[in-house]
Amino acid sequence: MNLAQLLHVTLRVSAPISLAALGGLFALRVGVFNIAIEGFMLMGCFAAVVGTHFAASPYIGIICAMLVSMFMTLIYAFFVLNLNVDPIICALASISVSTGLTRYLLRPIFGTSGRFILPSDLGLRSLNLPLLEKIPLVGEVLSGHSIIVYISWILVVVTYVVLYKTSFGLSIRATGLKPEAAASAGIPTRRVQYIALSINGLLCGLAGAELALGFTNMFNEGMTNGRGFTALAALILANSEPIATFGACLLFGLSEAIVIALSSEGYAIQLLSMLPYLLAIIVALLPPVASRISKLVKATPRQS
Amino acid sequence: MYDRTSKTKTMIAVLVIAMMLAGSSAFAASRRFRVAYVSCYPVDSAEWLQALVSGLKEYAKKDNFEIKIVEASDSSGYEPKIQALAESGYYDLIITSYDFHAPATISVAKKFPNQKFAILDAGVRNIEQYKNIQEFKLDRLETAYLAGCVAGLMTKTGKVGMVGGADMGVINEIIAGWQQGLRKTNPKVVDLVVYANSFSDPSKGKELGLSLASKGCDIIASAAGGTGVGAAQAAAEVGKPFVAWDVHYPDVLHGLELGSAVNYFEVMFRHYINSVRAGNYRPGTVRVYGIAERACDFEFPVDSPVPDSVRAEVEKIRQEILDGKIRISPDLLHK
Repeated sequence: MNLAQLLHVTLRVSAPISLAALGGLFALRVGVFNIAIEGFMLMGCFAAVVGTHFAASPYIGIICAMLVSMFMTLIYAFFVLNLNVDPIICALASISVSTGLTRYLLRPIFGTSGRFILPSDLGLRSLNLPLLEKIPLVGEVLSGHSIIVYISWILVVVTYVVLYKTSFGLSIRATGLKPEAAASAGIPTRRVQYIALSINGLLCGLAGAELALGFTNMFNEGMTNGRGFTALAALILANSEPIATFGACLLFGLSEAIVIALSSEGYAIQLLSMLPYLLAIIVALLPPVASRISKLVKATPRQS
Repeated sequence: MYDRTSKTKTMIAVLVIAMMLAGSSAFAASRRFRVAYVSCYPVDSAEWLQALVSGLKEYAKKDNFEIKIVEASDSSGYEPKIQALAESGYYDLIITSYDFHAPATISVAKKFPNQKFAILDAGVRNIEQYKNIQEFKLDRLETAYLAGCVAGLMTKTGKVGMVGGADMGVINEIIAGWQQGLRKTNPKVVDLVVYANSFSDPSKGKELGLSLASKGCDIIASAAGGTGVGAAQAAAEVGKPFVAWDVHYPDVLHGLELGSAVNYFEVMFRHYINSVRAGNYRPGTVRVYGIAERACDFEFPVDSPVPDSVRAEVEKIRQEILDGKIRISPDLLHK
């Protein structure tokens, strides 16, 4: 596997993670630490396959995934915001419900158990970017992804703009930082929280759709396989800043791609599986260690 | 009038007693063999488990035994559920599953020394020390060996790849058989092994499949459950032949599937239950069922691209295995 292939895989595997992380970002920014994104993503995968199967169009599938995932998030939001249920407890319940419901529904809807495979022509096609394609390394890396991957890049910028350049973004940040102060400033905090969590649902649905349709066009029970938690890790690592979160997702994607590339070289899989987390720890430790070192350097009296 | 009613009463009493006697004697004469199977997964969670349960119910009717299916998929329920079955004293044989149930089975078996226990493929250590537990399992080496033989004959580049579900006993046994089979028909073959570390991640499976193809493998195999479907999709995408485990993928591979190593758990269970019923219960041992008992086999799908000459050669090797001329080691050649 050469460098271009490695980076291509990096972008592909980081797309669902970064979409889920952006979703989690909106929830976190209004003060809800939503670990249920793993479950909402799984619902998104399932709804994407159901929608694609019955409408014979992956685009309907994507819309289904986003709507179903948003619906789930709104139920979650109702429990957390209106009924004051602990967000972590409620998230665990949401994950169990998503895992169980998707497995249960496979039977009445498709008559199969464990998985449902769509015909290969119903998946999302990978797009070749007309001009970029021609540029040697860049074209190979950037071209040939599914449409959701490109959307995910655009959404990173959109999230940044919404959060920092619009009054709605200001409301979101104010609600998350100090709800009482935001409310006293006339911000309808409850409504802002609901809207932010809806966006969380839509993005998780999109992440699920990419996972189910973008690359494999099938549903398998538990197919998110911890990607939602990876997204949360990226979010926390990047202090829930949109651009940095995307960077952290790329980092996780890169380590995943390296694991895939090294897998057949005879390294122990147990060590390879550690790589993403090892990288995360190093990145998390770098800033404090660097600042400590720079302080030490400054503190030592210089002798000339 | 008075007399007649008392006569009727006596008659009814006699009749009832006679019926009870007849009933109990008939009961004693043909008391059915009673088996309880404790599954460590919910029955609807896997295709093989569904096939096993429906097959067992069918065979229970045919062979006239009683089967009770119990799900104990939550670790807190392992011991209480197995103990409840043993306490009832109703079952002649209690079968539990995999290493999940092994500690609970061992501890309950100690408390009920007269109850027969069997455990499916648990790799119980020092099994010979247990007086009322027998282990039974499928021979995964034979079918994997045959799969390897087919791939060894079909490869053109001499390089093949395998996507395994996880670095664990069952999968490594399969890979061991696969590697030896490959070398039987193609001594110079290079085989790559990758582990997905998940049985339910098709996306990971596809990435691994594509990476194997990009490294020059012209045949891809996968024993990895749902992850394996992704590997099959990778093979279909790059147009390389694929060797499957457990299932066939006609709709994914469209004529690229060489064959599949399939297992028939229900056949193995039937063999085992009937052997215990016939008095061949051997606690402290491991009973292995293979292609000789038709508990598993390597099957070519209808649209398999494997030519007749290769099939004939594989059939010859299959016969050698059946005759006991080939010994397959459960140890990996490399990871």
